[in-house]
Amino acid sequence: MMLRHFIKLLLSLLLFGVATTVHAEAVPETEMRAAYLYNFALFTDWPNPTGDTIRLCILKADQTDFATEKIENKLINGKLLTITTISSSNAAKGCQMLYISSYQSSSVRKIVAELEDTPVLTVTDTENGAAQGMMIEMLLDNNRLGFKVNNKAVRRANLTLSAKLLRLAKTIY
Amino acid sequence: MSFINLWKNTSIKIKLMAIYFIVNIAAMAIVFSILIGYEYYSFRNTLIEDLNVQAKIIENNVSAALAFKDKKNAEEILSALRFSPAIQRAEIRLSDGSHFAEYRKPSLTSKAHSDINLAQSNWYRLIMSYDLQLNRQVVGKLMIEAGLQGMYLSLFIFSLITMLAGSLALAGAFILSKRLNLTISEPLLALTKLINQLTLEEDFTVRSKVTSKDEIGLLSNGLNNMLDHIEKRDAELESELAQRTLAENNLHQLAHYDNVTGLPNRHFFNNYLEDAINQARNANSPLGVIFIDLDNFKIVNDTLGHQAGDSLLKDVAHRIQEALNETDIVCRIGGDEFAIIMKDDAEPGQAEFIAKKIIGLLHTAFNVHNNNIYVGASIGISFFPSQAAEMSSLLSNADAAMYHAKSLGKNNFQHYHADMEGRIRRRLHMENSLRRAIDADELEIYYQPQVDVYTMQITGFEALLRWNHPKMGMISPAEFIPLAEESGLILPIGDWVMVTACYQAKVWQKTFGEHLRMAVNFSARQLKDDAMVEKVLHALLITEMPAHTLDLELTESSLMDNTATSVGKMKELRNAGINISIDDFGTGFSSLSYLKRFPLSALKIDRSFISDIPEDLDDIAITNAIIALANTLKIDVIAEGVESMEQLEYLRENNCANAQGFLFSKPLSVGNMELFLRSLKQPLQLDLKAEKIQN
Repeated sequence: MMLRHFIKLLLSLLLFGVATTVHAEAVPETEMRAAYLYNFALFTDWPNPTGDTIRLCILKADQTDFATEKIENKLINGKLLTITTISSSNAAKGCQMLYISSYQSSSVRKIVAELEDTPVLTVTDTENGAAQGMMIEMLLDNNRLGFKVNNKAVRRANLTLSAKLLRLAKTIY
Repeated sequence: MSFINLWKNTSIKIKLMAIYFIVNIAAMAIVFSILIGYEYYSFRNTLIEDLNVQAKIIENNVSAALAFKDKKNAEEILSALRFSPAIQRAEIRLSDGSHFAEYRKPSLTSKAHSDINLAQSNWYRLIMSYDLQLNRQVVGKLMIEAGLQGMYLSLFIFSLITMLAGSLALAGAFILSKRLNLTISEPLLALTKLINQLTLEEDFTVRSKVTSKDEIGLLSNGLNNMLDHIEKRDAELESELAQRTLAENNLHQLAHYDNVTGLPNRHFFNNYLEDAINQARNANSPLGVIFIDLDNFKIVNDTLGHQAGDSLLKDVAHRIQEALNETDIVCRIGGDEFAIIMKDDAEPGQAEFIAKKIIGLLHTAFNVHNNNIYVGASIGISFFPSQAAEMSSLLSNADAAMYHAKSLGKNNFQHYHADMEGRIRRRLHMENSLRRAIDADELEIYYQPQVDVYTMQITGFEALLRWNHPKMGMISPAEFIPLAEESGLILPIGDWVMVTACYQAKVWQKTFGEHLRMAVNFSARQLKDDAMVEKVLHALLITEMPAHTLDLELTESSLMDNTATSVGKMKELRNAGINISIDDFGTGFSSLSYLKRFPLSALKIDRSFISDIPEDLDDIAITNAIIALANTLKIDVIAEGVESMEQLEYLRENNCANAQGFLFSKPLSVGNMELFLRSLKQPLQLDLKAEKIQN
């Protein structure tokens, strides 16, 4: 009896220790962005059947902004998440998601215009990106990653974002 | 044990009520337990369902917050749980086990944080754990802790209501069953009452009025049937008993009553007397017994037949009954014997009164088959306990007294005296001895000579019987002859005497002279013997004694008792040449008419007349008259008991030719008589002086 209690105690201490370690470990921002992208895909409904894959397209220049390897080839609701590097935003029309990092407003507006009414979830790190027509804008608030949603743009694109996701948004346009 | 006894002694009414109570309470307890149990699980399941639903909603809502690690949002979502009052707190943990978000019921006072642990689940705390899934992956865990207090409260209220309802139902059932019980206990009570009545009053005509068709009704029917049966059997028994009583009465009548007189018989008498003696002994009171023996009843039976005898007995019974008090009882205890038991007023005076009355009543002639018949009675009286302490002695006393009365000449009564007993005993002894006496050669004949007073020559002898008893010595004929007559022994004795005397007469005739006669006494009983004539003639034949030398001496009374048949026999004897004389003439019931009827040849003057001669002038007158009578009838006369010369002279002077007595010789045995005869001059001439010297 005593021995069993002792082992229990040891085990719980060990587990607690591990958990504490995990908790204390700061997650790198790039990984967080990757997780966010993944989660956005998770709470999004696309109008047309997308086949067996969800294509996340990234413009060539932005490759370093998040740890793509963390989420690539992961399943989202049974579909494989693929990451495709595209050279121009025009090529994004065949994607389900498009991620662009911090861009100038003019560039953003150009991309928004190009993809208008196309069911591609657009995500950006650009400040006020959402206000300029991007669907989701990721931002840092008090060192914590958050996001804004331009739901009008989402609807125009015939996409549906889960209400659960919307609840989490800092701002909804 | 005591409970079982208590239960056994409890009335069915109470038992039924108790059974109702126990059964109802048990049933209610079961129902209550099942209901509470069911309610408990129902409540619990509802709660769990509720928790499940809540958990699902939370899971659904919180997934995004979880995905984005938005603790604030997650806690907002969790706060929706406040609408579920049972939920105390909730907690979301990430898949790595780390705490993520939590909810606490606002009313919870303790703010201290502690992880919800499944192991903390207990009777008042339900802890549920749910996996939170997102994208088919467990991303966290939802723990919900719900308090069960609310459930217990609901259960408590529910049980209160159930118990209230149960109590109401029990009360209702109690009132109802009390009334319904009456339908069972009332008939049972009625039956019990009936059976008690039966046992107490033994009245089997009552019937149970319970008519229901249930078991009590069956019992009631059975009881009624049984009563019918008993009543029927009673009736049968009664009639059987009545028949049996009738039969017994008939038997009793036959066994205890005499069908000739209608009087109780000897059997009844014995039983009755035994009871009466016991009663008298207890009451210390006297009791009298009167024995009545009819005199001369046998004559009626013999001459007029048994029917006449029965008729006479009937009339006698009537007359005896007339003489009695109501409480006296008369029984016929023998052929002509009656006995009276005096219960009340049993004292000698009263007994004497009754005896006199009976003798008086019997004195009047009875008319039997157109014959006037006179019947006397010899009556003996004895008393208990003054004269006899036992029934047997009482009876023998009365018997002795009666025989005494009979021996005193009949038609009188005698009280018992103690000395009668000795007499009776002696008599009984003598009777037995007498039976042996003939064979034992104890009997002997003595002879007394009869003398011609003028010639002084012996003319003959009288044969006199003597009994030489080995212990009692010489016994007088006056004592044993009546005994022999009563017992009938007189017949063989008489026969023996006749033959012996005749033989002796023949011997002396050969030796001393052909003319010598022999006088033999002949009793009344012998006279009645049918073979009497034959026997006498046979004796003469075998002894070759001439008939004319035989004198048969009869007493007056034996002649009185006899009738035409006797006269016929005497005439036959007379015709054969035998002489017949009357012995002891003048002492019996003299009726001179028989002198004419009977063919007599001599009279013997009784010694009582001779003995006082010549002093008593009356005796002289009587003797003169007898001698004159005999001379007139031309028959011989002989004087007995002559003891003096004066008497001899008187006889000579008054023409009494023959005499017998001590003056001439006392009775002598054969041997002495022969010596005496041989001493005399022929032809047996007496020389009185010489003779006297010799004696």
